[in-house]
Amino acid sequence: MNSSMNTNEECSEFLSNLAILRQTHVFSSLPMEAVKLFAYLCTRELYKQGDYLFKAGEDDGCSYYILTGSADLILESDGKADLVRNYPKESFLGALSMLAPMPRQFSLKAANDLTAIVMTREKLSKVIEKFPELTLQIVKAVARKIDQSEKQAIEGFRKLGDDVKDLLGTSLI
Amino acid sequence: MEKKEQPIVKRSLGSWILEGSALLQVLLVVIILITVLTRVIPLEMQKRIINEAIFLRKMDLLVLYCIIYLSSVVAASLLKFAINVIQTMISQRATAAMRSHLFQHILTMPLDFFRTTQPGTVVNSLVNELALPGNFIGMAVATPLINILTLVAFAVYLFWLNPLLAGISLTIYPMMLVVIPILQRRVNRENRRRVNVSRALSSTIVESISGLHEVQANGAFNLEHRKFFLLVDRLKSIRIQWNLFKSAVKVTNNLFTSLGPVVIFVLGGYLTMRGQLELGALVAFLSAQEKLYDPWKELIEFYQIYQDGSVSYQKTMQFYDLPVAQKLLPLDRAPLELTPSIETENLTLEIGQGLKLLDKVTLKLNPGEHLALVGFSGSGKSTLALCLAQLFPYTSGKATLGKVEISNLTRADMVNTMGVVSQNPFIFSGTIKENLLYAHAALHGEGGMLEQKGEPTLDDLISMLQQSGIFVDVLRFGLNTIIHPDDRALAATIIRVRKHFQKEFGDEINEWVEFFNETKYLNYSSISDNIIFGTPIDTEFQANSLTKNPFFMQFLDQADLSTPLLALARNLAEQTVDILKIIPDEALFFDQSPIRPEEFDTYNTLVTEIRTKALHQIDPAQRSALLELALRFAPGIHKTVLMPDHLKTLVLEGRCMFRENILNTRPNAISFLQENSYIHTHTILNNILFGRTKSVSPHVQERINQFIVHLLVEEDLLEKVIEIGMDFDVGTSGNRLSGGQRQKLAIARAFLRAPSVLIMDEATSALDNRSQQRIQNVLSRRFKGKTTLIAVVHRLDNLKAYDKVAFMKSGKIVEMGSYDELIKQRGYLYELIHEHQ
Repeated sequence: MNSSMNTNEECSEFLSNLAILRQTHVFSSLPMEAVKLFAYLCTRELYKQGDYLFKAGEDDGCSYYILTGSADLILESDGKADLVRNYPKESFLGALSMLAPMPRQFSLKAANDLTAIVMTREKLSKVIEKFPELTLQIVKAVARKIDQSEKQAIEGFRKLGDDVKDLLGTSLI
Repeated sequence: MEKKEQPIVKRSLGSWILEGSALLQVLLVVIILITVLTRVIPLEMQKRIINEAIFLRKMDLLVLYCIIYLSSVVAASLLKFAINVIQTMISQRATAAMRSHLFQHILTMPLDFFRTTQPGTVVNSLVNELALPGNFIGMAVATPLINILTLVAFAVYLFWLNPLLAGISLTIYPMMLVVIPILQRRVNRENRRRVNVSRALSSTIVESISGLHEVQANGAFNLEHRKFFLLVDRLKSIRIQWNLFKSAVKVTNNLFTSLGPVVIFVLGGYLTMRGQLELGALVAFLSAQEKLYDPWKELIEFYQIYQDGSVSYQKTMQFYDLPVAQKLLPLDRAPLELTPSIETENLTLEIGQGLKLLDKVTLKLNPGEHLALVGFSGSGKSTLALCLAQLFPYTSGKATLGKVEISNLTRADMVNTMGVVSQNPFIFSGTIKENLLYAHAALHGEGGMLEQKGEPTLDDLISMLQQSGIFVDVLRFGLNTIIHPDDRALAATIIRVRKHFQKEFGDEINEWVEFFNETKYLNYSSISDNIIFGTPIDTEFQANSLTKNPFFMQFLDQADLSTPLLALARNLAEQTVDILKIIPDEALFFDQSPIRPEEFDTYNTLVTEIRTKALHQIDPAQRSALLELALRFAPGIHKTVLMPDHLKTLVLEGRCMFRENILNTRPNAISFLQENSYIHTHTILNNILFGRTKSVSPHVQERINQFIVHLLVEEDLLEKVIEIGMDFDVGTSGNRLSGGQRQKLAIARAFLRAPSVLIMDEATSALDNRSQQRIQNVLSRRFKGKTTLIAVVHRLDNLKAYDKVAFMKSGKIVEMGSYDELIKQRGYLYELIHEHQ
């Protein structure tokens, strides 16, 4: 039942979404008024084990915060499906696809029953239409995140050596 | 129709005068001749009344002349009215004919033209600028004729009265013929400038408004306003000057004509005193002279309208006077049935300054072969496809379709053979079905380019929906439709489906569906639905009338619901206003709120007014507004406040009590929800589920559809629901469809036509892998060997399915061959694929 999705029975879903969004990298740096709006606009969705949140090639245009359960990120190639990693609860992913139409490179599959807070590109862009100044802050947040993951990649390179050298340099786009 | 020898843009303004209105013009001339006669009679009567009746004191003559005078005045007025009616008809017919011919011409103009021409300019030309020339056409025969004849008639009469006086008083007019044209030339010049600036202005408006999101996103308010203001300001000065010269023409005209009576008083007075002119004749002379003024004024005005009209007309026609690249229909033969083979040799498209979009492209494609065009963006792959579709003209080299040069083919030959699906297909307002049949109607419908054919069958349509993958979307549209209450047979079948559904899937699906259950609180239905638990038959119980219904309000008090509902609504209003106050005018943001966009201001004020009051202190109007909000609240949808469990219990008790009350007092007011009766206010889907879905997200809808489809098949209802879904209104330019749905619909549209050559320009770019794969399978299985396919491809997964792959770079084909050959070559394609992995 939906009411059972509330992590905290004391407060409304809106307030609990607000508390969560304020801690995600994309939304945390935005003004309170805007975060409130996003907290109000996002929806909670239930996925059963084995359901796909999105599939490779699909342009779902959503970002997901995993509230309960966990999800597997899968890379499909030539009929083969490789598990890239598992996203545990409290992960936030998919910010880029909110910003621009892009088909997914990966598939995301519910590893067990999962609830996610979902924000769509359509809603985000409507808010941005009203507050163009948010764009810059969101871009900055995304840029920082890309830079951060580049740092991780460099660490990986130092451990693994030349094999992954070609993969470095995403932050220089 | 289109077989006119002269294209519209070459026609003169005068050529429209007789277009479709020749008989009316003749009728007009006849009426005018009579009118002129009725205009002279009063003058003569005037003279006779004074000279014969009054002077000789003959009462009978006075009565007779007055009757004649009166009847000719009445006749003149009636005839004038008739003339106006006929003129209006002629002018409107001419305007309509000009508009429709010009629009037809514009539709066939090269696409290139519209890259630099804004839709607003075309709108302005068709709607505004042709009105003036149309006006002129209506007057073209009548006004000069009637006024010149009147002038001549009066002049003759004046000469008949007194040649000397007439001669002198008429000398004024030739003088005007010199001065006025000089002024009018200035008017014309300003008018031409006005047309130019208006055109630029409407382009600017269209650009700013259609790119408004961009303007707002960049905060370019001042920039856009400045562009607009510069033009408005220029238009202002031009219009001032234009009107200035126009009035100068009028003033000069007035001045000259008022000189007339002066001459007559001086000279006529002198002659009368000398006894050379009767007093009656002088009076007649004076009024005839005065009456010269009206026809003269009308002539001058006509002259101005002619000038304005011909300026607008010429400017409009010149603007669109570009050679139409291809004829629409062959004049002397049926559209060709071309062999679907394509060949090009050194095909080049140069767009000035030596910039080549296509550079010596040579390729050969046999009937039924499939070619994929690959390359980076800007490599010319789309341009090549569009050139082969005759949508872009090429500048040199050869391109043939079925051995005939493409540039020599008519549009009818092309569409007879070729179908095109573009990356951003245009979907027209109307239903899914109308869009699906668009190409068919254009070709084979009434007035279509090719021979008439009956509509495709429902089975054909459904099979196209399946092949393109839009079937599931259409199914969803169908399921979300509320059917007409008279369709009892359908309702009965749906109830059968409901029963099977409950039996087979009731348990599996309750994660996503909230079933209507008399003993449970429904989180996804409003509080009023929870209380009433049925559909109102009596309109007093409809959701929007409840707070005005004393029975219901009294019930809320009895059930102890009023106060907790008010408290809930107050909290709800405060929260919602607080969140949405920064953007109160966007409908999307109100989907998750019980407040509607148009009510925002009301509740915003309400929240401020009651902030410091206790619940018992608020006035009746505020109370009723809050209760209305509370009754709409559904905790599963509106997440800003939490609905306490004890309130849910209270509502459930209320439901029981309400039913008892209603059954005792007004048993026919409500039709309660029952498992074996159809709910007419709900969608087909809700009726099958006997409940509501908890989420509108696509993955949930898809899952529910999976459960439903085979039940629909069992009951032979699937086709019916699809048929209903095909009546879904896609909105203006298809804006109620997603990008993927638009592409799928366009593909279904092309598949339905089954052309022998198909061009797909990144036609599946917005589709997920599975949908792309499905379409690729259809192309490979059903079209290979039959339909020649040129696909501009943006993803490399499906290349193996093509007979040939051409890799393009800077307008050239740098390598071409089968997928395997190219991979073996280890050239561009190999590199590109390698890079992607």
